Amino acid sequence: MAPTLLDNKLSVAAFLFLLLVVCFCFAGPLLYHTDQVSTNLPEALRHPGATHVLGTDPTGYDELGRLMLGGQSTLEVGLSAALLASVIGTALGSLAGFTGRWLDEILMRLVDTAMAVPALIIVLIVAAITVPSVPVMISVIAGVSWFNACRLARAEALSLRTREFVAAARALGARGPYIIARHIVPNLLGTVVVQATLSVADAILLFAGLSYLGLGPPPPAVNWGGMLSQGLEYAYDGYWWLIYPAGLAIVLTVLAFNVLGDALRDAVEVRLQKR
Amino acid sequence: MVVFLIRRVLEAVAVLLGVTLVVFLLIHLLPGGAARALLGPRASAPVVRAFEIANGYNKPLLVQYVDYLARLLHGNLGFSYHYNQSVGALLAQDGPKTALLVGMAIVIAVAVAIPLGLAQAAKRNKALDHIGTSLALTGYSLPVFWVGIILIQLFAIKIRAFPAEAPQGTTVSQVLSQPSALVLPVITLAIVTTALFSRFMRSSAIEALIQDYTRTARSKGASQVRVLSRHVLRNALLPVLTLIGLSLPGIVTGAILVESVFNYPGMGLLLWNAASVHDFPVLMGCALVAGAATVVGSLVADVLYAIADPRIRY
Repeated sequence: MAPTLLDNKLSVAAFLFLLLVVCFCFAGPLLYHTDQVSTNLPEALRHPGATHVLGTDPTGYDELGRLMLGGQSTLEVGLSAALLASVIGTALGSLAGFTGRWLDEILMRLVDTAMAVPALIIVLIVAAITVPSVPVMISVIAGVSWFNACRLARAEALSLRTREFVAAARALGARGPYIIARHIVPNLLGTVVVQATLSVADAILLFAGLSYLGLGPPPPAVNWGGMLSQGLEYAYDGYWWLIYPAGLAIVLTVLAFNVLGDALRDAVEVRLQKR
Repeated sequence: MVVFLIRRVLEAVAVLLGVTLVVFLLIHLLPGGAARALLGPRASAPVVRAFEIANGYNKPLLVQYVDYLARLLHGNLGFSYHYNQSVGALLAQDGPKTALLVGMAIVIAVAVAIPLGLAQAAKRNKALDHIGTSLALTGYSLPVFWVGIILIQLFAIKIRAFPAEAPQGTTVSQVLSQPSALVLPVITLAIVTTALFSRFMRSSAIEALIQDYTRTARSKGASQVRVLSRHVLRNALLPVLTLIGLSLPGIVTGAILVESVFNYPGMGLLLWNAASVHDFPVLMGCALVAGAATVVGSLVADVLYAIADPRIRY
């Protein structure tokens, strides 16, 4: 029997880990109450201990509570941006691949052009001009991430449109948009899901990088990248709890998404299974 | 071959033109406008208007774009509001330093990832493959700036082996005169790049190993080493070259973050400072140069591929 996704222990572990992270970030604050609104300067920069499990930051906020709150924002932006990018990319890519001719040419030139400028530069410019609130962040990260999904969807649509079921649908009178929506897109969902999972990893890294540079959502919004840049000033003096937890959180979450995406790709790409 | 070259160069020019359009639209179409962003929310309307007229922001968009293209063709990349120098001069100073950083990181990454990927593919699903894949996945998931911070913490503060700050200097030779300070920034960028390249190389080599020519070579009695070095390596390397060309924007992104962590005086730091003070000519100039470098890079990669592989001719 061909190995299924559940046989890959690592990917199951990654998926469970991600569920754990989501629970930690969103349900955690309900169990571990900390005051993230008012500062508490006398309690600033405490070592990890009984009252503050991961210590406190320079303004007195509990670090573990901050990690949870930061995780909410980071995951929100990462997941939303990846979802938006996948939807846009799949829609445009399948349209271009299926229709072909000039629409395909124009779209591919557009994608080539937009991919030439490094994503961070585009995001930096946008963040410099507009106020980088969370919806703006989601939009702009999605705006630089949809190209891979588009390319993949286009390649799949190109090969799918020569299949018999498309010819059959056409013979029954179906038109382009209907065929795309009803036949092409469901058949490329596997590749799209793989790409979307890997996009989440990239989106989280891009958002963390931007926040680290100080151009992410301004305070009081908190996210893991911002925590790293804030903690950096003190880290070299030995306040390790300001950077290691946030950094590890990013690394492990991104790693989990990458592992999951890889496992999904192995499960979806049937042709490689025989080797 | 000549037809292919001409066609490819024309395509590159078209993409380059597209890059100028994207960069131009980015600055001029965002809500709020460049003038408002530079002068701040408390500037009065007449001041904003005067700025717009003085800098040509009030003309129709198409006219502005044509003016911009005309200036570009004369080599005028604009004048920085913040540094009071021409953008071209700033980029000529800082661009080569970033190129040095990126170049060194790519060289190290290629030197490590190609043999590693090949070895992984040769011993697929054995211990080496699993270790290599885990390392690559982990390296690929690390935020570049965090790696930099950790390396500084370990090698510059705990064990004082290397300086924490990158070499300062205006020219490349000044930067090269402090090689020990270059080690940490280059290694930081190289780690993530190596992880990426080894994944490319591994899958490309796996594809090459299942081809008929490999089987033929083995059946003719070639040793494993000969098969790998003479047949698999060459064929696996070609797609990897193209992928390396395509991943240049990502590496430049990493370089920007590395430069900010180590205070390396390159284009990335220039870009970051310009973004903080809303210096749009510099932002546009950097974006243009980065985009142009990628277009030229992928053109070179495609041409090299066509020269190396006679099957590729369109």
